[in-house]
Amino acid sequence: MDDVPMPGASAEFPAPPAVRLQRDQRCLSILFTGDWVWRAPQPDWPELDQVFYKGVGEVRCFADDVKQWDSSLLALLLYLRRQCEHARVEFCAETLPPVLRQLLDNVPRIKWPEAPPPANHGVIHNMGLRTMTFWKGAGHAVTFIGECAQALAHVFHFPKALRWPEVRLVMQECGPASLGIVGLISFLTGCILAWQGALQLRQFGAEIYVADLVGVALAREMGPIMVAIVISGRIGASFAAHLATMEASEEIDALRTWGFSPVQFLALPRIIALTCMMPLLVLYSDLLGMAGGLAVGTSVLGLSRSAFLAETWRALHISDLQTGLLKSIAFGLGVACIGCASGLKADRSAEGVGLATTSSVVKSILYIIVVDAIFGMCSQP
Amino acid sequence: MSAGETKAIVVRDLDCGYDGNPVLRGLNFEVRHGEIFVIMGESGCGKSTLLKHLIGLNTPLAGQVVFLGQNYCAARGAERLEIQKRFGVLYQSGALWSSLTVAENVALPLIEHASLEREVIDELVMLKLALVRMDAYAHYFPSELSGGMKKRAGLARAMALDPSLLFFDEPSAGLDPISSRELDDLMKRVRDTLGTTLVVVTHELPSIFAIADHAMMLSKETRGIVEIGKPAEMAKQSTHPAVRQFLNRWPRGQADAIKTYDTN
Repeated sequence: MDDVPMPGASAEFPAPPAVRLQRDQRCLSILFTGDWVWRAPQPDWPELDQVFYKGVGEVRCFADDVKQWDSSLLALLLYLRRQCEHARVEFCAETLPPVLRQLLDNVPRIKWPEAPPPANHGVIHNMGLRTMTFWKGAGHAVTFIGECAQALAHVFHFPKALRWPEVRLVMQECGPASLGIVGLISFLTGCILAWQGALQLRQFGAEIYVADLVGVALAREMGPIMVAIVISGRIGASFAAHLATMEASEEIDALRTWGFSPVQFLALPRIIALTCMMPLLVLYSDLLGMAGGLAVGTSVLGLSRSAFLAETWRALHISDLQTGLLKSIAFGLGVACIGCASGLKADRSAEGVGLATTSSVVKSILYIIVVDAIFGMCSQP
Repeated sequence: MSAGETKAIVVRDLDCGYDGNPVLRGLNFEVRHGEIFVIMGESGCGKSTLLKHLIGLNTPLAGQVVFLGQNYCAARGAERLEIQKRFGVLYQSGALWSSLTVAENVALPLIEHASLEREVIDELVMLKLALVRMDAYAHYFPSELSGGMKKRAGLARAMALDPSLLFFDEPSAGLDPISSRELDDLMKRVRDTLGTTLVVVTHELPSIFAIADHAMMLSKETRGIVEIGKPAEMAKQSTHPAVRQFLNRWPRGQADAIKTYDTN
């Protein structure tokens, strides 16, 4: 051990670190005193810069009076040495205590390893990489769908193979636990539709058709889409994060080594639960949305409740509800599959969990819009 | 209060537990400056719980933890932050931030807590990494490192601000014997060159005998301290059969064998 006390043997209240300068012709002596520890107030370094430009040929450092020190002193010595190199002044470390000298001597030998050069390929190369990534993702998706179909067929033959308690738990999470947020958003959507419709229809004295607008729009389009978007953020993302965390903590490896299929064990219960709950959520959303429309119709437009309800009943066809419910099944199935697939192919890191969650939500919303457009095109007269 | 009189850690009447349920009760012990102090005991005795309470991740149910003369449990705000800057923790898995390289992991505390030029920070980072022999891996991400390398990099990060105290949670867990021995040597080197006080939670007997100046045995049955002493002496002369059983690696249910050993 060196004679200079080390940071561990610290007094509780450090003396402030200080620097004294002594000039002897071309030789500048820098004397360090006090406690050079991070928690003590550090002296101003730039003041030291000035001394290098006044005919100084050599800088000698002394730390014999330093009571305790840590890397804060080392940082200043490194700074001084670099300044000396810039000013072409000789830096003499021989006068320092051996441990400090040894640490300083180590620094020049430490070279930053060469960072790998950033990948800078041509446009064609990047397009190729992206295409390969796309096909790889498509391959994953096809494999996942195949595994789901296989697991579903197995469950049809052996219903006990499905983890029904898990299905009930996920149903609880998707259904009753989501009623609040789905209800609020649906009610407000109904209000907005009624309000915007009323602004236009009022010009023609046709306010009563607000009921038609709200009823049909909610049943066919807005209800399923709004519920699907809420569910993709609330449930799809949670599927992805949950399974990605299980992947990172090797829980899914443990399932595989026991011979369990992660798709059958984890994904299928979630897919079945969400696909079953979505139509119910959409019906609930339709009702709440129409209640929102009714609230605006009666309070703002002065329509009677019975007239609004009768008009809604007249405008709505069973085919509207069927279309909405069919969409909800397609949305539920897709959001659950995307969430589970994103989680199961996530990288084993915190970053991987985040990426899986983001990817799940983005892909789900894209899927919802594309599927809705396909439904729209199919139902054209 | 002079440096010689101040203990690095003083724990008084500490009750540790979760949700009001004590796991450990009435702990009293002291750790001297510059020593390696091992907390040991069988699985489930509360070693990691005690560590979490010492470093402030959990609030004690009762009692005091005094670091370097300052009551850590009572400290709030800036005062607490100042105490936190004076200790470092090496977590069981290394707990490196996965989105940063090894060098960036070590640099972050320096960037946030010390106003230094970037060049100086880089030099200090490389110095810390060289101390744990990780300077060649400065640009690697944690996911590219082995378990032993993660722990060494975690140690470099824990030492970034030159703490007076270093806590280790199961440093040997998951390491091969050679890496484990290297980590033991590294811990001793840190203590010898920097004078840092080390508190190590472990149940690895070779490590305990190799590094500990003093060891404290915890008991699941009594929910408290069984004995504090030097491991080699405790293994031979302890008046507590449980301590000798633990340190001599005797299996459970062989009380007769232990008695025979005592008589011989």
